[in-house]
Amino acid sequence: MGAGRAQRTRTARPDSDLAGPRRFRAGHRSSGHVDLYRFHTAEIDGPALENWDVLRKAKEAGKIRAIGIATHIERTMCEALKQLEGIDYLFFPYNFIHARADYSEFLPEAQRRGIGLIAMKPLASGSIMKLDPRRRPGEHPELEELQLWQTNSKPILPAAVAELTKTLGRLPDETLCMAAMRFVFSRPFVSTAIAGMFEDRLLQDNYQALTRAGAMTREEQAALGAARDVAQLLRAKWLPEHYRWLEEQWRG
Amino acid sequence: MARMMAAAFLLAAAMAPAWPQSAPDAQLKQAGVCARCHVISVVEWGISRHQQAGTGCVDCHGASRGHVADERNNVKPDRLPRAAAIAGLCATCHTAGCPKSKRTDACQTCHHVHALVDPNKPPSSQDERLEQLIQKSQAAARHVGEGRRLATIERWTEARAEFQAALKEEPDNQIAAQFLKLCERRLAPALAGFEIAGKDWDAGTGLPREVRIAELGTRMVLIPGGDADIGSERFAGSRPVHTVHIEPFYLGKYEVTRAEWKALMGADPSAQKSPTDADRLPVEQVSWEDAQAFVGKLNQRVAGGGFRLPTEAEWEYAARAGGPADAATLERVAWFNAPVQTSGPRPVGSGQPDKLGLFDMQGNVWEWCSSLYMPYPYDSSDGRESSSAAGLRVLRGGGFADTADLLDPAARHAERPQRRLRWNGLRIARGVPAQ
Repeated sequence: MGAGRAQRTRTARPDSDLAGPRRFRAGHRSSGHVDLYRFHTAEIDGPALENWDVLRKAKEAGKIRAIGIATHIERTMCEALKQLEGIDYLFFPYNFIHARADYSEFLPEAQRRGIGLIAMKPLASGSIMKLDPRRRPGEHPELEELQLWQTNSKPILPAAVAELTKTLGRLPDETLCMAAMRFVFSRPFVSTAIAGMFEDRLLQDNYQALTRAGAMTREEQAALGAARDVAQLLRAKWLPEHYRWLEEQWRG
Repeated sequence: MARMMAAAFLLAAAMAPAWPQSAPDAQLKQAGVCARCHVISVVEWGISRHQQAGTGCVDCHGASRGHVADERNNVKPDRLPRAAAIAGLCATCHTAGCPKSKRTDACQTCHHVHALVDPNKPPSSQDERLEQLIQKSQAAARHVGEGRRLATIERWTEARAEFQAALKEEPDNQIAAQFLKLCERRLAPALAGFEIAGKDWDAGTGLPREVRIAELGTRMVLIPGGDADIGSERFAGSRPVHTVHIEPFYLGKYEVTRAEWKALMGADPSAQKSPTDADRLPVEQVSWEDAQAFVGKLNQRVAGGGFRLPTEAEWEYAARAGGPADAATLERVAWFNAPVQTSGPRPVGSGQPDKLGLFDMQGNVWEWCSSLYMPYPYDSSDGRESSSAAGLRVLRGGGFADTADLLDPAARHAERPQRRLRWNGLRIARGVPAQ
C-alpha cells in the first residue's frame, strides 16, 4: 500500500440478503481472494463486531489480504482502533480542504501501530474539479450549474477567484485536481488514496499526479491555498448536498 | 560396531512400548526433539553412562535451535565435533582425562561417540552393566508378556502381580508401569464426580470411554493421550506443523447446551430467541470470561472439580483424532454454511458423531479454548495457559455461519475474552480425575 503504487484491487462485499450472519463470498473467482476489503460503518456496535469477526475469519482462511474500515466519523475511527482486532487500515476523508485528520487522535495511534491510512475523497467527490476557474463554460454541461462563482461568465467572488486564476496560471501543465492529488500523496502518513472518478479526464489527471515526482512546489501550494479560500467563501455550497458532511466534520 | 548396535537394538526393543502404540520410550522422551530424527544416535546414547548422568544431546551439540527449526536440514547443529575436537569437548567435563586410561586425546579410539563403549570389543567383556541390563530387560519382558495375556482375559489381580514383578526387575519400565496403572484402574474403576456410562473401556489406560457428570447428566468422552502433529501449512496462523504430547483427558461429548448453562448459571444468554427445542441448542453469545465462570460453578458443584476449557492443543488433538477425512463425511457430522445455508445452530447431537464419539466438534458453534492466542508451535509452559494474562483467547471448530475451510481442525481463531458473539459457545474438558 505504498503511496502512488499502482495496485490492482479486487473488492467484494458481504452478501446483504442473508438474514443470519453474513457469509463472505470471494469477489474474484480466478484468484480466490480479495486484496483489500473495506467495511463501511457508522458505529462500532454489535452488528459491526459480528461483521468484523466474519472478515477476520475470511482473512485467516486466506480469502482476504487486508481488512479495514471506512467511516465518515472521526470518533468511529478511534473506536475502530480500540475495538477491531487485526485491523490493517483506516479509510478516512482527506483532501487539501478537508484535512482535519491532521489533528485527529486516530492518526498518531494508527501510525504508531503501523496501520495503513487510505485517503478517501481526495477530490471531495469530484467537487474540487469544479473549483477550477480555467474550466470553460460548456466544457462539461453536466456540471455547469455547479460553477457557483460564475454567473453569465462573471465571477461572483472576484477577488478570490482572481487570485486562484492567477496562482493556477503559474501551473500551466497542471490542473487543480492534479495539485490536489499531489497534496494528498505528499502527506507522509497517507499510504494511498482512492478517488472516485466520473469523467475520463480525472483519470488522466490522477495518473499524472501519481507519476509526477518531487515535493509540492510553492506554486502548487499557493494555488491550493487560493482554492481553499474560494471554498471557504462558498461555505458548503460548492459541494453536493449529500457530501456536505465533509465541510461539517472534516474541514481542516 | 555391529555387535554394539545389536545390543542397543535389543535394549530398545525390550523397552519399546507394544501397547499402547503411542506410549513414548523414556529415553526418546528424555532426548526430546532430537529423537524425532536421530533415533539411532539416541538409542546408542541410551546405553551410555552419559544417559544415566543426565548428560544429553545439548551438552555436546549445543541448543542448536536453528537446526531444530529447520525442517530441510540446511542448518547444522551448533557443535558437531570431529577428530581432535572430540577430546577437547570431553575435557570440558573430564578435566583429568579418561577415568580409566588418563589419556586426554583421541577419546573416540576407545569410546563410541554416543554409546561410550569400545566398538572394537564384545559388549559382554566391555560393559558388565549392559549384560545385566539385558538380563533384567528380558525378565521384565517375560512378566510384561504374561501380564498382558492375563489383562486380555480380564484377570486383573494376577495381571497386576506380573506388572509389579516386571517393575521390580526394571523399575523404569514404562510399559509395566502403564499396565500396572491400567490394572489398578480396572480393579477400582470409580472416578470422583463421574458416573461410568456404558461398558467400554480404553485398552491403553483402563479408563471408561464414556462417563456422565453425576450432578448434571452431561456426558464426556475419554480422549486417550499420545503424541500427534498439530498445525497446518494451509493457514498462516497455524504454522509450523509440530508435535505435541497430550495426556488422557475427558472432553464433552456435546457442546454445552442452553439447558446445562441455565441449570448452573440461572439465565440463558443466547442470542437466538424462542427457537424450537431450545434446551438442546448449544449455548451461544458467551464470552471466554463467561465460560470460565461456568466451569468455576461446575467445579464448585461437582465432587473432585477439575473441569476446565480444553487447551487448544487438546482440542486440535481430539478433532484430528476423530475428525472426518472427506467432504461427504463432513456434511454428515458438521453443521455449517454448506451445502445448505444456515442461520443458527442446531440442537446438539443432531448429526453423526466423529470417530471418537464426539458431536459437532466441527461446525454448529465455535468453541472457546483455555489458551491465549500465541504463535505456534504450542508450548503450554510459555504462559499461554495463564488464566489471568491479558490477550485474545483461542476459538476452534468453526460455526454454523462458516464455510468448510474454517472447520479444518487446524484453523485457529481468537477473540477478546470479554466479547460475546452469537456463534461462540463452549465444550468442557476435565483431566482424568483421581480414583
